[in-house]
Amino acid sequence: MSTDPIVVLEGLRVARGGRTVLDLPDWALPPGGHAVLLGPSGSGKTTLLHCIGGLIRPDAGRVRIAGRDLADLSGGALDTFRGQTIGIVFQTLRLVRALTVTQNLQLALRLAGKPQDAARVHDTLTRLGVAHLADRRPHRLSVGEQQRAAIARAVVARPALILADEPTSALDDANAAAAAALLKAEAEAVGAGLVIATHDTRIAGAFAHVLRLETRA
Amino acid sequence: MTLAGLTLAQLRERWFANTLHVLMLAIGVAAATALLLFTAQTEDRLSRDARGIDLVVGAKGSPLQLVLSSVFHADVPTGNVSYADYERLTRDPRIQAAIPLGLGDTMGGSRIVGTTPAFLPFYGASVAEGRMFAAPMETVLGAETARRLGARLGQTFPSAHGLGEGGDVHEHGGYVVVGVLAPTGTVLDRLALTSLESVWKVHDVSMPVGNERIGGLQGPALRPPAPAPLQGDPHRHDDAHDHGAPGAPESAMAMKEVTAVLVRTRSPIAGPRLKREINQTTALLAARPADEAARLFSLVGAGAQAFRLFAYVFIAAAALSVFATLLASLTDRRGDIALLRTMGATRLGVFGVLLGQGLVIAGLGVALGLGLGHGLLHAAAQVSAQARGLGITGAMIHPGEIWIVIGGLGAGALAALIPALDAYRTDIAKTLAEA
Repeated sequence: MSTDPIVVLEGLRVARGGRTVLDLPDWALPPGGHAVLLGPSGSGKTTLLHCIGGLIRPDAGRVRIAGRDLADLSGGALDTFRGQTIGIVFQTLRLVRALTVTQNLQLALRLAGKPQDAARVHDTLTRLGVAHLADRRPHRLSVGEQQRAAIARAVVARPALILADEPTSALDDANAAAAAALLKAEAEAVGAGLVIATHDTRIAGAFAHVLRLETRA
Repeated sequence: MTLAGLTLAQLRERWFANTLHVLMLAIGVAAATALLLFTAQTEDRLSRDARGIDLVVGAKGSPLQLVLSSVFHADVPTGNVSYADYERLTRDPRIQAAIPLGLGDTMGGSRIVGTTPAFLPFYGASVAEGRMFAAPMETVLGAETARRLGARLGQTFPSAHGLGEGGDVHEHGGYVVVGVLAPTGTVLDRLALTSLESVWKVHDVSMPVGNERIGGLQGPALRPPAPAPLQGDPHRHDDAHDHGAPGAPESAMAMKEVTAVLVRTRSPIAGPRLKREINQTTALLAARPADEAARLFSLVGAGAQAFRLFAYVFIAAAALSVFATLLASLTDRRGDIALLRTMGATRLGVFGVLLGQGLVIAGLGVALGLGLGHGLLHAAAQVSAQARGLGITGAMIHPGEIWIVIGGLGAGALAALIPALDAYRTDIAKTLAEA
């Protein structure tokens, strides 16, 4: 495994409509490190997560993921790099309605440029306890089951970095802790770095790395 | 699971609306295909029927009717021409061949053509079985006629007066089948050939032929031969059948008539001049099958144009409907598109998913439509003897169908283009932040 930090942020600044929404000191996450981006709503957590994921380009500063400066990657190459390197769990989960749980995972493998590995798909679903739902379409699953399926999809292609946006905000204390633990366990299982954006201070204690964001006036 | 698989899965998710799109497009494509095949086959058939006939000479009337009745065997004749006029034509040095026709009767629904043995070489036809007619009341059947009647050599068939259904059955001994023609792919296949003498024999003085079907008009009689040097038994018109009107003037018996004369000129440029000459200086009518066929096409063309428009409207409506549905589903699926992008799909990839949906619908619609179009013509040929007679078949591929395929797929692609471009331009971060 590379000893480069999995995430490096240098002088990152993002403005929206002339207003600075994000202005960060330099920050880095070692490979396989787990971090939370902690801050209240509107503090720019999602914006930062999108910067790390290469979904938006910062107005100033650099984002380096697994040693690659995202600014060096043009559109299509960035999409491909993202697919191969990063797995994302969204707050609203975003499983593809038209596909079964298994097909959602297979699509993730395909888009990550990984071979279709039925055993890997099955193992991942089994570890997350949703193997029995493999052939169901997402809307037939409970929210908790959907969240496990979404985590499975984020990790199935063995990404180097997993990003999660507010994965616990809708859950009660016990489930929030369980979800955070699940993410950590899955990230560990594939040796991935993990960055969770949350305003949920309940789970922050479990993480070695915390990046606090302030609400900007 | 690939992006192509996702394309199909998303189509399946809205299978009901998409099935309707496919059906709509199929109807348009089927109409366009059937129309194309029908007009192409009809035009091909008519031009084959008229090939090699430079002029048709008959009684004054409508040139189109003359050509329809004498070349395409699809209308009643304009009247009759005296045998003397026919003989005069044969002596014209500009004319290579002049074939007399005596029309007016049918045999089991097939038209009987009284003519001379020169008819066969004129059409380049040949006897496949048996021999050419020689004596009166012998007949050689076209291939389709023989097949339809189940006729064997030596069998006798009665003839009926008039070219329509339900004409009076002639009370003569009937025609004896002595030969069957090889298939020609022309109107010949549906005819029954016999000698002029037979037609003269069956009809006596008062039996009108020609225009009697339209408004009860009494056309000039097709007269049997008077005792003439060229003819055999001068008393053949005195035979047993008795539909002669009493009191027919004996002088009329001296006149022999034919219905029309098919003419081939020695040089192609002689045709128009000969036509002008005949029309201006004689009581006869000369018409060029090529001109009349072109006029017929332009008449049919107007109807075909309207039908074609209907087909295009259907295809366009299907495309619009696909467009509306894709655009509506895009609003629902913008999140999916953003997600696909975060999972590594490129802009081009999500563009392809949307465009692919339009193309799959179009492809299915076009395939189904082509099948329906061909099936429709096949069914028409099974059901309608007229369609069969025109040589209509569904089992033929016209090169023009490639344009229908291109048009159908193009409509699908065009319908999907704007939604696909929209997917291409989707701002991932903004979309993710919205939902």
